[in-house]
Amino acid sequence: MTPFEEHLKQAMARREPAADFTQRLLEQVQREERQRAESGSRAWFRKLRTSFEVLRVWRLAGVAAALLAISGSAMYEHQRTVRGEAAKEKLLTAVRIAGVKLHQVHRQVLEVEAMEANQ
Amino acid sequence: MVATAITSAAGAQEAAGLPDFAWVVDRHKSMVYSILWHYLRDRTAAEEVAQDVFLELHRSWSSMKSAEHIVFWLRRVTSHRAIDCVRKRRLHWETSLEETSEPTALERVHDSFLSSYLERMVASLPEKQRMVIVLRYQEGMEVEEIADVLGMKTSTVKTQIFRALELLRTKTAQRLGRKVE
Repeated sequence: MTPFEEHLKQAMARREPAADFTQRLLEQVQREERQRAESGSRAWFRKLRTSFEVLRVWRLAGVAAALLAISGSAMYEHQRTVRGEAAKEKLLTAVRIAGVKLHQVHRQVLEVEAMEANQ
Repeated sequence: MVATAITSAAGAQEAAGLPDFAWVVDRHKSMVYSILWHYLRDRTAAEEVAQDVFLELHRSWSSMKSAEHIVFWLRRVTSHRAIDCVRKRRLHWETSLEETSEPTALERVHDSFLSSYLERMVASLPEKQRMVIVLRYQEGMEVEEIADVLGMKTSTVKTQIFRALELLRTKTAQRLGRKVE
């Protein structure tokens, strides 16, 4: 190292910061840690609340879906009953008509048989 | 009390072979502060940035591997923060070599004044040369270490040191009125 570099080295000697440097820094570190912890617990609570809200929304959606399914099935049942009643009504009418016709035919057959017996 | 709380918080790290945070601050505050002071020549700015550097160290504490790693990390982050600080703020103290005032008659006579004169001269060097000189002569770092810390090629660091020394020698010789070895 040349004499000039030695001078330079002396000129560049280390210096000390203010006496309270470490104290101020450690206080700032503590403040940051506290803030981080607070924001951490706040975030945890927020997450929990969000979860509950999500859960509530899902529960509501579930109830709505169940109601829809029940009312849908009730409506379907009702429609089926109505269709069944109508079919039954039609069948009864058909049976009644068929009965009347059968009765008429039977009477005619009896009349023809009576006439043949008289002859 | 504060130091105790921080110490206990860093207990796990200590168990892993790392010194505790408060001790690291006490041990290295003059290194960090001096790099910044010699680079910025502003006591308030130097303290402010030094505080930021140590806060950043505390946030990155879990990624520290050893005491040597901490020193390397501090030098690297401090150097980059100092350069950023100058670029962002363009502090008022920044002057060129040409603008730096002539030394007083006393400075011509006494070597102790040569030191303060040289400090001012270093502070007026271009950014890269200034940081290289601070790390080389304040920290006594080798060229390879400086290259590592600043992310530069070894040859570039050598060139920067050579140029800075030439500039400082010439200016000092001119102003002292004698040849400087």
